[in-house]
Amino acid sequence: MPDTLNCAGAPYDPRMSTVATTSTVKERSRGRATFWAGIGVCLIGLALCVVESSPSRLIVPLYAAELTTLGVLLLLWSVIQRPSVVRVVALALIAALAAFQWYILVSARPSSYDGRLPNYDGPARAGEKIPAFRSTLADGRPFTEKDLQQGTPSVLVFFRGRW
Amino acid sequence: MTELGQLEAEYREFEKRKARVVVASLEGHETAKVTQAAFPHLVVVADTDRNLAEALDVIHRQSAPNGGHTAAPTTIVVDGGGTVRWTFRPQHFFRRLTPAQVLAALDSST
Repeated sequence: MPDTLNCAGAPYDPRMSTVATTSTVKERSRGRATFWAGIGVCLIGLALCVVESSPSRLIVPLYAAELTTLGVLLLLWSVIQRPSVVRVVALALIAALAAFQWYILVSARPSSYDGRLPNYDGPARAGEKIPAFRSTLADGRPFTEKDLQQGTPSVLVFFRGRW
Repeated sequence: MTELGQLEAEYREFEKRKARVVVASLEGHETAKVTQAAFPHLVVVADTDRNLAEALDVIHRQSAPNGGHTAAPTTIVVDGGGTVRWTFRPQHFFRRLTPAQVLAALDSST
């Protein structure tokens, strides 16, 4: 009679136990890296959102929405690899967050506008002089094409607005 | 188009190149003043009467959240003599140039 029996009453074999433990650990860790990558990507997106929303920047949670969506895909893949309550709950929460972020982005445009921009076909072409114009600086001083001919290179940036 | 805060953060890089960043929208003077205060190293244009935007044909009609017009996100590099050297318009208003891309365009075109 062997000194030790396993739970099934069979003789205890340490090698079998090691195999079973290793197999269980492998099973439990399947998709774990993907799961944490998904959480990490989402947290990076949220951090970027906080930075973008700080008082010195315009509020466009663009990167957050894209990264959270990537996080949802990673979490979904981890759930497919090994479903668990924790993973499904995390997936549901992050998916809800992604939906909210995209809602914020999409609601910043009218329903008739899908966000695509027409190709630029205006008179500002490389090699051509900037056309004449007369506009105003924020402090009320005039701003014309002559201000762009004073020897200083300029980057002219048109933006939609602060909303 | 690049986030104004990102351009403001890189103002030293523009200063090194003896270049300035002029940002324009169709919003009113009061909003432009707030923008100027928030981004002191940028030159903020209040193109309320759309003269600049019309001259460069960058008005994007009925694209504002309230259905009004906006300036289509567009970036134009102009050399010190007033000659256009480079233009950029993203395909989608979500898209942005990074400051590094703007600086690279400036370096390669002026």
